Amino acid sequence: MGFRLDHRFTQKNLSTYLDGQLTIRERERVERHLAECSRCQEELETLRSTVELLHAVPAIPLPRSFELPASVEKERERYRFWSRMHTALGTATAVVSLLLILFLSGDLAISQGFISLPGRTTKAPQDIQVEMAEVPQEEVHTPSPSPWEEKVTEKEAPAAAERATEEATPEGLEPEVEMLEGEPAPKASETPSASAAAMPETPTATPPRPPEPTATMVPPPPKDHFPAGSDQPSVWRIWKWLRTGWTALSGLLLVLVAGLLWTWQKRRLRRFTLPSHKIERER
Amino acid sequence: MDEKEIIETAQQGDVEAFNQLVRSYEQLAYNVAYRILGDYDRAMDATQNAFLRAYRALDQFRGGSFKAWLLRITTNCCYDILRDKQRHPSTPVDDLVENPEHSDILEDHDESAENGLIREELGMSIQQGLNTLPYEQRVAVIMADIQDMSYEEIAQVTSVPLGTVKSRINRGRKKLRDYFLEHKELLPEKFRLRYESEHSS
Repeated sequence: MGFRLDHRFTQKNLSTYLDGQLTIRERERVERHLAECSRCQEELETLRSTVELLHAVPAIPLPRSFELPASVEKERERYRFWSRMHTALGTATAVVSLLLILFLSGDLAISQGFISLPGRTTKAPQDIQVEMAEVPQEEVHTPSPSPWEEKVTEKEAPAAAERATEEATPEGLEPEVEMLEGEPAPKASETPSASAAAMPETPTATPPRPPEPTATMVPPPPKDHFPAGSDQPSVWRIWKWLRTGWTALSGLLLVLVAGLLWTWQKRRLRRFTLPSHKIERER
Repeated sequence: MDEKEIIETAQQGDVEAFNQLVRSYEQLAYNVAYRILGDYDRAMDATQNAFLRAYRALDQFRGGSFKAWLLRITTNCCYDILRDKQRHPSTPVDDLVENPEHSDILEDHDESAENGLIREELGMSIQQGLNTLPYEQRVAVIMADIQDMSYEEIAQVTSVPLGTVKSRINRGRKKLRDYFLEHKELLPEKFRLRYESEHSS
């Protein structure tokens, strides 16, 4: 057992033994084994001959000088310039990528409702009526892309609320329904249209529908709604800002990555240009 | 001016100072490159590229052994060329024709013509043996046995622990020995390897 272990150890360390790189203890162990193992002795001798053979390998004469021409100094400056550009672009890309991730996460969190911002509520049915009533006629003519962009002035808000409480009763609603289906009276047809622009299920979107009970006439609440007087425009602005932000960042990132690849290529070319024949010619 | 001062001057972009370093190490770098690649032209390209890279990266040299640093760059250049060769295998025309300019030995005027030929033959045979070794073992054996570098220097050049260097040299030498025992005819008569048992019989 001891012989086999020593044999394995010697086989593994013969080369190091030849170079005198073993510790005294290891060397003694190898020598003890060599004294009793003819196979290891042979291995050692052939290995020694191989090393001697390698030491006898002649040196090769230089075919030419490898000195660099003076022009490499300019090349070096250019290489450094592209290296610096590459590093700067790399840093910028990292920063923009990080911002993009933040913007995307923010957008996703708000749109999925993981983050509830102050003032963001879901509207109750009666609030919708209030809203329909509170939209002033002057502003109805300018179509707004979203109910959130409605602008209710503070002066109009109390009056609209009063009107809404009257109309919230079934009696108050009936005339409104008639007006919706009747002639294009400015108030009836246009007042809800501002909100209806973003709500296709409102009565104006389906004109032939017969008058129904109050419940069916109340348009369903939009997914997100901010009652009048709350800070909904600012939340909406944040969301819009996030959307615009990450779209712009995506574009910027693409440009940066393209720039990064370009400078990498430039730097790489600078590193490997100036082949031997050019150096010889310059010399 | 000692080497440290020359390096400092060259680090400021002085090409002439750098060329002093080139003159000191070009023989070593070219020989290492040739033994790794086994091809004169590729060895020239590798050596030239190594000096260019070294010049460009000189301000990254933070002291220590310049020889080890330069040889690391040289071996990296050789590795790039070998990798490129594997991707696009081709036989250079120069390899097929004996190039009288490139005698495999440094001319020694005192040496007889016969001895010169034997040494040249030996160099070529050993190169064939070296070419059969894996890259890491080849580099380790070349540095240890042809360039007479210490284990510590080889560890610096190859950026591996000392134990790995020992193991690479050990395995490389054994493979080379087995190769020469198998292909005895490649070596000149007086350099052929034999087991003791063969001698006695």
